[in-house]
Amino acid sequence: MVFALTAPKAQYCLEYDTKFTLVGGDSGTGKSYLCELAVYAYRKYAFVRCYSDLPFVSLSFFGTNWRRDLARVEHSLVILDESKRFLRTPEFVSAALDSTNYYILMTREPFPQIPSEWKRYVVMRDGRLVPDPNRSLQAYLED
Amino acid sequence: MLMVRVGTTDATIDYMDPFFDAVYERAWFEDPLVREMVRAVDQSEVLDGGVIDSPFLGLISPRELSTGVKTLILMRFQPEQEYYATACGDNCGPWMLRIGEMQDVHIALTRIMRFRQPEEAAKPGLNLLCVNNGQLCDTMRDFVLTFLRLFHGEG
Repeated sequence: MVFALTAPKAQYCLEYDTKFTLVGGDSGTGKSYLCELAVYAYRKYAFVRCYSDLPFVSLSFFGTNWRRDLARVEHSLVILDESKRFLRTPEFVSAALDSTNYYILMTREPFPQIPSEWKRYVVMRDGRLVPDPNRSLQAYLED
Repeated sequence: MLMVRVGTTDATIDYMDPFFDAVYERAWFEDPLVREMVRAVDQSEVLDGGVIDSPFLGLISPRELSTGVKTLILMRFQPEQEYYATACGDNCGPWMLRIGEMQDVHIALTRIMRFRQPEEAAKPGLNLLCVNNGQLCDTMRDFVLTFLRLFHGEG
């Protein structure tokens, strides 16, 4: 499935096929701007063109009661970053696992509850997601 | 010295973007280290008056810098606070070490920050203190082992 955004100064094309797509990597690659544009697209601001295979909700959809807000969303794509503290809670991961939604989460949290086969991604400067090239921690422990 | 907490507390600042936006001062951008960090992490140039020239977004204000660079600048100028560094990419790690060489700074991590590459796992001089148990980590390997012990609750 695809979620794509085109704005005057940036474009993103995110392909995802698993329930959770965790996006981390280096600072300064445009994750926050992506989330900002997703908010504008959600508000249907005309300067952002959006294509999404699924209905989607962005940061601005969530108010003070995230559980209630999340319960209102089904069969949709949820795009969030760490500015929403609830994202880092086990309760959120549990609620997300129980839902019918897909999630693109801009976070470097380890999320031990999320199955490890759901790989981590980084955003490239051309707006694509690619698997995180970081080698495992094992490399630090080998002689 | 760079002081690292494994985990967070209620006092950890995890809202670096709004905090930075509220407290930053124009004079901070005259600091050569700040200019270097903005160039290295965000590939942007600090112009006169704190205006930033980004190759991706054009002329921007400091509010539009990445969370990683904002956190580094806060560590430099508001070092008494503890920052949630999990939100910063590994490309911020070497700069955190460098700021830690200049002054005492505090971060909280819920993941292993790659302060150095694996090729330098045994290189001494990391000089990082884990505040949870007072362990001084002299190499990245020390830090990885200490982090894993603390993160998995093995003291």
